[in-house]
Amino acid sequence: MADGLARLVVGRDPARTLVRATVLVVMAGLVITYGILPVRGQGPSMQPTIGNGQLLIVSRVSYRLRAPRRGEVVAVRLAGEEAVLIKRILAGPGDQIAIDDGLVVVNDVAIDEPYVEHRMPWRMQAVTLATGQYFVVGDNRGMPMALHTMGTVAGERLIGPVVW
Amino acid sequence: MVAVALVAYLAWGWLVPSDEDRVRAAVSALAETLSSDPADPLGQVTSLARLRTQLAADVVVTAAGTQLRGRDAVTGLWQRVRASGDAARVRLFDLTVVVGADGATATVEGVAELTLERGGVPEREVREVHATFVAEDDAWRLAAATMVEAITPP
Repeated sequence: MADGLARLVVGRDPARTLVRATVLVVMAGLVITYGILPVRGQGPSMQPTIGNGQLLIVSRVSYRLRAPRRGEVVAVRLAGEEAVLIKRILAGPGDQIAIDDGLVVVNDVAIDEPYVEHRMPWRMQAVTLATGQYFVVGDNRGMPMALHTMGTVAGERLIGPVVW
Repeated sequence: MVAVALVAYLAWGWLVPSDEDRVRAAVSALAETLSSDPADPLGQVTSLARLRTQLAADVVVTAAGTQLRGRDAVTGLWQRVRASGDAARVRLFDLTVVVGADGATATVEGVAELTLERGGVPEREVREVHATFVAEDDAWRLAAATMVEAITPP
């Protein structure tokens, strides 16, 4: 019984098991340090997509490989990464974006936003985004526009998309 | 031998803090002062006195396009916020401190988190802050602070 348990824990070859365990721990450490950023959602601005206290995983590597895309939920960096802002990208470099009676219009086309539950009649004059600029908004459009953090953000501040 | 060297190193760092350590301590002390309990009248008075020593006389605070100039203006605003009776907690983190070559100024970049308890419901606000501290009379004092909008409103 004890022999069986020992074999289950350390395997037939303890040295090889130790090497495997070490490699796994190092890989997990590398992924957690450089690959992902765990974030806990707080505040109402991304409701109903993201609830208060919901755990999210942000990819740190995606935007090293490709450009951010319209519609993605992203983490926006402040001075560090202990606190980040979670928003949705609605327009990218060169796009023109406006909000008319709560409807978001990008390049003269009203975009479909199935993730929005309630809409207040937000209004925003058309803005054309410069190179490297993105327009981000939260999904909660049922709150007053003045209380909602939204607007243009530099691409360098985008850490990556929320992948889970 | 290694353990003795380590203990000596740690003791040296504790007994003789670097300028960067002293600036970080000044930032923490400032956050603590700003977080004092509004329900404690004696604490209010001592906090106000402490806050005056933590600010340079010509301190400039810039937020949302508005500028406050001078120690009296900044402490006056802080008193008005406290008078509302809402409990406020200020936390400063993710700090990068760079002390100038002259040893008389330091820049601090970090994140300020303000939590206001309104009717028992916490409202949390985070902003990136860029600040300058100056060394005056053997103490580091806040000379300028600017709230930076990571997302620029339309």
